[in-house]
Amino acid sequence: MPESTSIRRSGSSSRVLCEGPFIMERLNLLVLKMETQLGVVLIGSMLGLISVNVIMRYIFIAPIYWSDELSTYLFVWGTFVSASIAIAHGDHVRVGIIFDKFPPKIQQIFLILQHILIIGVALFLFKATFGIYVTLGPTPAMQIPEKYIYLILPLTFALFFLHGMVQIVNLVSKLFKNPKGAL
Amino acid sequence: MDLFTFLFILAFLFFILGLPIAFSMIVSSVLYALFNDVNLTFMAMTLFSSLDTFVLIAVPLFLLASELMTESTVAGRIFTFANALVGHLPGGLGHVNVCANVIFAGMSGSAVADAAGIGNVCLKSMTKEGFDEPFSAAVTGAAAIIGPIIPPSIPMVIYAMVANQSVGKLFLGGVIPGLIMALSLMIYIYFISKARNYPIGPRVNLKNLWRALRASILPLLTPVILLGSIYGGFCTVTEAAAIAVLYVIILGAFVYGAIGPKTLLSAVKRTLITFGPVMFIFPAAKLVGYVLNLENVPELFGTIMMNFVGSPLIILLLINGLFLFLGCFSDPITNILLFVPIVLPLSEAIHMDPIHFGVMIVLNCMIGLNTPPVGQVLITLKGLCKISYEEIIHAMWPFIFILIVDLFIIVVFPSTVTYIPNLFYK
Repeated sequence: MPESTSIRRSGSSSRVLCEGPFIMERLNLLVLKMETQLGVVLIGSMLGLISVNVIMRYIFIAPIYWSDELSTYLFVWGTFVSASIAIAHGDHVRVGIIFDKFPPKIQQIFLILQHILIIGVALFLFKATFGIYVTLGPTPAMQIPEKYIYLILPLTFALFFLHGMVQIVNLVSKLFKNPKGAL
Repeated sequence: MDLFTFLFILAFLFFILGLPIAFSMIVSSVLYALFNDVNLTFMAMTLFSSLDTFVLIAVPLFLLASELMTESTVAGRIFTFANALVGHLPGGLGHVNVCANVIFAGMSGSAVADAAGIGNVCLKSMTKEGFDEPFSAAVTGAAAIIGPIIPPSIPMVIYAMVANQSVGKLFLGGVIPGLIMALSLMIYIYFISKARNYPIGPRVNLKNLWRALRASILPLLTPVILLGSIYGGFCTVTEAAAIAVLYVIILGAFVYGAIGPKTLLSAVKRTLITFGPVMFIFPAAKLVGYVLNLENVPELFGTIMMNFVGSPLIILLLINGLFLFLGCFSDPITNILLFVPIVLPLSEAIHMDPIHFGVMIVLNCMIGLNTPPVGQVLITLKGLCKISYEEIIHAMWPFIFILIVDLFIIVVFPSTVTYIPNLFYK
């Protein structure tokens, strides 16, 4: 039972990344590529900004007053983008201790149900984010309207929905393709 | 059965049936909100605002530093230096493994990254030199969890956020416990190696020791730069982490020529892919914490425990027992995020030093990385060597016992934790 009783960083769902209808698969891979590029830019600029700020503060005695705020937002955006990528890869931390004891076919059905839960909750939260835009003022340091910063929330939930949908389609089509149930 | 209990059981079912931990928490919190007229918009915003903290940025930065450290030749250099230092003692490479991890601990804050980085280097050479593989794997796993005890430390950053404590104090609190762990592991390795006749390396003369030191002096400066800039009051933990990353990039790119634009990009990409799943548990746990607070769970739990138990010592034993048990099944970040808010009022009720309590919890959670059936370090080790999961676990038991004894020592003697922070923060 090597990986069986484990918290897994790569679930079975990663194996079904490239199944299913052609257009959906292409869209999924395209979005995934864009997410990765966006994420790398976010993390990279976050690192750059923090470092530049330290240098500015000590060498030029001219700290960038909005640096902490912007780098924190870059970090939050990066976290959400990374969480979205993790759905497509099946990389979210999960407990496999009982899940792995089931036969592959049941596991597949469980995975479909799990992704239905994920897209369901993504839908509810997506709808809830419309309520955000009523109250927000500008951010403290940069004076950017906060609603633009919070745009990552609906975007993330939409991406959760997309990746979740693709996983469901892939899993279902796989379920019918392999009636014997080899995952 | 009321709604809260029902949702609690539902969340637990999601959890054990393999729904990702973060989503188990989010789904059940959203269900609670839907049934109880809690504003869902507020919950969505909590997901954002809980991450909106400068300190947390240190987590991906420390991960990136570990990635880059492994990518450049730093791990190998530190291994060579540790080998020159303690390789001639009975137990040879076992001690080298522990010492290399102690040194690496000063630059890295993640046990899993340590096991896969410096641990892998040590593990490979241990088996090559004739140590049997289960023992080598167990030493690697036990030594890897020193990483997050000696500063810097990712779980301590998370703990500091949850318990509202100073990251700097917690970091310093881990120094002596980390050294106690290293010492106890080395004592065990010494006796086992004598009994099993494991190979001993040649004694290195002073000239070669000097050469090994010179080859690794620049990476050895990383902890000095990191901690010096934090405790010298020059910058925050996050900025220190960024400086450490820059230092490793400069070292790897210009001094050792091991990091190019391509390796740098792939390291950032790997960090992006690994940190999200860890980090996303944070906002999810915030939602659950919010629901638990609405239901007064922490307060209730505290009152019940104080009424039924009373004695501080028993309460401490119970808390440690709880976290060790949780460590067998769940991962450390989740345990800290979900259960620290619940046990924190208890620690205040028994007047425990918050830093002492924090280091105790983090050490406890780190032991959980090595305890079966579920442990992330165990799984990493399984990926690094050819033996079965059971063989690793079998060899791991004595080490788990030793680490629990260390935990006990640290719980009983608070000054092991508080001595150094009290020197720096008056």
